[in-house]
Amino acid sequence: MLLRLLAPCSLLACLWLPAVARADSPLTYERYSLDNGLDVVLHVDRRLPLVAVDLAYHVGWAHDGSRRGLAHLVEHLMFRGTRDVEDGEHLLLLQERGASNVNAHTDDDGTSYHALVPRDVLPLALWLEGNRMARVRLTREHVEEELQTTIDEWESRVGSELRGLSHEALWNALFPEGHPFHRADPDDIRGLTLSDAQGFVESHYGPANATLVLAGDLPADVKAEVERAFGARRGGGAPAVLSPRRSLQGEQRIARRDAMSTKPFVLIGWLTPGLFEPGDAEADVLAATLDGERLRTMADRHAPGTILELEMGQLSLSGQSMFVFAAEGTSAATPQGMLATLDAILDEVRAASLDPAAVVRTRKRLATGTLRAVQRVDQRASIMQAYVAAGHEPDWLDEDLARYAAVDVDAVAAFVREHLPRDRRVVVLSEAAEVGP
Amino acid sequence: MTASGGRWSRRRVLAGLGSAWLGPGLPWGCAAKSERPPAVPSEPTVWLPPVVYERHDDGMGLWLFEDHGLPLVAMGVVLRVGHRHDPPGRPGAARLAGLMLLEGIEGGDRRELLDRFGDLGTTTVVDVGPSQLGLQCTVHRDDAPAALALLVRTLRASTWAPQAFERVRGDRLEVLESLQGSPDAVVSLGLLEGVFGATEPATALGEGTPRSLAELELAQARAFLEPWLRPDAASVLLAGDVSPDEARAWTEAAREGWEAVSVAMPPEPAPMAQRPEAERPRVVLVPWEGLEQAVVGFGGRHHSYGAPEELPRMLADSIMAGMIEHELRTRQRTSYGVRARTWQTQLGALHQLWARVQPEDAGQAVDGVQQYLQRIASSTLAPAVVEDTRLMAMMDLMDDVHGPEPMLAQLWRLAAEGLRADALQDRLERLQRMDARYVGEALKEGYRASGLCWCVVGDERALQRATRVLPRRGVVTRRPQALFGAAEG
Repeated sequence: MLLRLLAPCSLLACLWLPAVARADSPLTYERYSLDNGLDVVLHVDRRLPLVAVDLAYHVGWAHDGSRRGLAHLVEHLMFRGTRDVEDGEHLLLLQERGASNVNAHTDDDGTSYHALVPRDVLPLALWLEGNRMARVRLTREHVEEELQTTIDEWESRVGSELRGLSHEALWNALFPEGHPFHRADPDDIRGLTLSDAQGFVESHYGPANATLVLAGDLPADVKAEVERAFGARRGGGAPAVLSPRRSLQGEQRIARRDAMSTKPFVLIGWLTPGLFEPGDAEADVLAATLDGERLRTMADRHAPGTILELEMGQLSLSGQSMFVFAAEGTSAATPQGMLATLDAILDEVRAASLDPAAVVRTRKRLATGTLRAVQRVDQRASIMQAYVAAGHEPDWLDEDLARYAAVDVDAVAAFVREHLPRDRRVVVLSEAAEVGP
Repeated sequence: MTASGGRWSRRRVLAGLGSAWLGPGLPWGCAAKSERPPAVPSEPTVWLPPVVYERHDDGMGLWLFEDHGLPLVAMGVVLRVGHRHDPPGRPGAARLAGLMLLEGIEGGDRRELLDRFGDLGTTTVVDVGPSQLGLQCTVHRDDAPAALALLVRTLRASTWAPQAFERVRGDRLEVLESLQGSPDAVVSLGLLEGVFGATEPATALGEGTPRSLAELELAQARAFLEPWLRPDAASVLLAGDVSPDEARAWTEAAREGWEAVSVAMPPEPAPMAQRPEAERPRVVLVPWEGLEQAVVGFGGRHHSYGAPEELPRMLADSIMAGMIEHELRTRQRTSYGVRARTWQTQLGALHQLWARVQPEDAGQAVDGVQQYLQRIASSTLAPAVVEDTRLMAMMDLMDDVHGPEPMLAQLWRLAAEGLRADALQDRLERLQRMDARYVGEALKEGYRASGLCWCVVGDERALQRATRVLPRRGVVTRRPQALFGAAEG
């Protein structure tokens, strides 16, 4: 999994998109709003006595501005207690009663708090979310502890992870200082304060800036439960609209030596169309058609036995995505030689030499993949949240899939010509470390 | 992937486990509050859909889990042979033979085989475990009969092309070489050597050694698998949008022409050769200069899934994992600066807990864990902690049947372990009446200091600091290459 560290916070980066008629859609729903503006989506699925609770605030790490890391810090602080719930009690109360996946994640455009709870426990789960929406207790001590925890997470995800720093270098070269997608580093995080967190919560954490999705074995009085938990809450302002679009000028090369890798490694990154924009589907089809095995066959044609593993993928974000082509070489390979091989592969694709039948298979595989991605009720809740965050209805699956129906070999080749040029990209050339066991 | 993921990424409630030995008293709930949570039942509703198992006249098994929430079917065809059946001196044979199944079937090479699965909107993967070997895939229900037929055909009609064999062998050797660069893999092998006395621990995982893989011949790999390619050694697993009648019809069509054989099944192998307990190391040190973070692990023997002792031990392991993480990640981080995350892993019969730590903190990490182990020996586990863990395990069971693919994984395990169709239901009922005392006893028994082995992988600083607090007897030093059965360079 060469690309694993590049995956952004967005669930949508993992969404593969197939053809399911709306009548067969697994995402049937009812949607309504409370008087205070809370957007509510209900999806009934009675296969198991479980309910997925997913509350998303429409503010994420891309809205951090100069206070990079703030949205993520606030996500952590929301588990540190309220005026009525002690530090850690939120988690305990739910897990003592069988809830799982009690967690949260911060995306570019939203922050989601979620849990999978036994159906009998739904009133408690709703009460806890409604309570911390308005009555979270932020303290200097908790901020200091969570600053350290988020730095630890950075260390785990980037600093001490194989090739983590190479991926981070690529990301920040594509989204440089000042861009809303530029990533927080430990120094950014250390600079955050209690006052920052308080301001962020007061501005954005309220019902008018949130969507609640409940999916599963919902009780008959679910609407009354939602009203009881959230009806008295107020506030929630939307963050400023972002303009993440940028373009690269020329090719930028970054040479590195990865302290933990025993193999050379190459990453190429391009800026590509944002989530659901024209070109986004072509990128997905390209990456799914050229799987690791196909890529390795192509690589072996150009430079036999020099590349061990290859992978490409579109990481879709709101307004501006990135496409990445990654390769790990044999010990004997050089990053420069590997880059030449990757370029030769891309030249082939630009010339529309993909197998049309392979593209058709990809579309079918993506269709199956979409069903696989909604097997569980919590998966369904997440995907519905993702569609809502993008400004669509929760069952937008059909429209989503329709984008793929028109993607053929020529469209993929055109995407490569237009969006993956040699002269507008970032290349990370990573030498192997000299240490080994 | 949550690059900026959640604070509470592990399931256990670590904050409460710090006081796990002091009883159920939780550090909150006393102050006056202006809003109160609603009361909900303490024991939630839990149920599991039934598993259907049928055996054909010729011995082939059919396992079925119905889930009609989506037009999706997850399926597998599995043989009752795995890497524990590797012939003496040929570790890695089962895995190589299994991987050869994807290298083409009569009338087509690997690419064509993959394209045939692609035409059905899927890919297939091979899985080789200690006791089973098989293929699986997930398809739309309209494609399910054709996919099942293709799976069976792939199993039975592999081409065993010499060129493909060389490529597969080369890939496995690359994997072995890569694993030698993984401190996490190395610590597992060190523990396998200590806990089981395995002389070449990599062989216990079915990976083989560079030498055994290099020496294995195509004919030998083929001869290894062929005696098991028979209906009475095979099972079909179906999970998802399929009725029992459809399951029978699809299976019947897929297995057409696969005749029963009258010769006896190959004999079961003898258990892996092990050194006597007195000769086994208690501590395995693996020097690795330049390693930025050390890996500290400890582990012991685990009971197989479904064995009577396994369930309380599984709960005990969950509690232990939570406590160790609390010690390393929460307490020591604030006290000593250890940046650790604890992982609980099961490799066959080995249960291990391990964490990456800064080299200079390796001694404190070991010491902290040892203090926990001492407390276990002299304390009584708080019933509330067991209750919480028991409930989580019940919910996990339900989670394990949440959709066709998780269901297939459960069927795979039932078939591999030779369990009954009602084993999951039985597991749920046992959990519902599990007594905290059994879990406490399992914790004490499973984490007796004398039954555990330690492994530390790291640079000189890490090893020096760890050895100051580790047992002084039974200490051995191994190079990673030796654990993998490779010649040392």
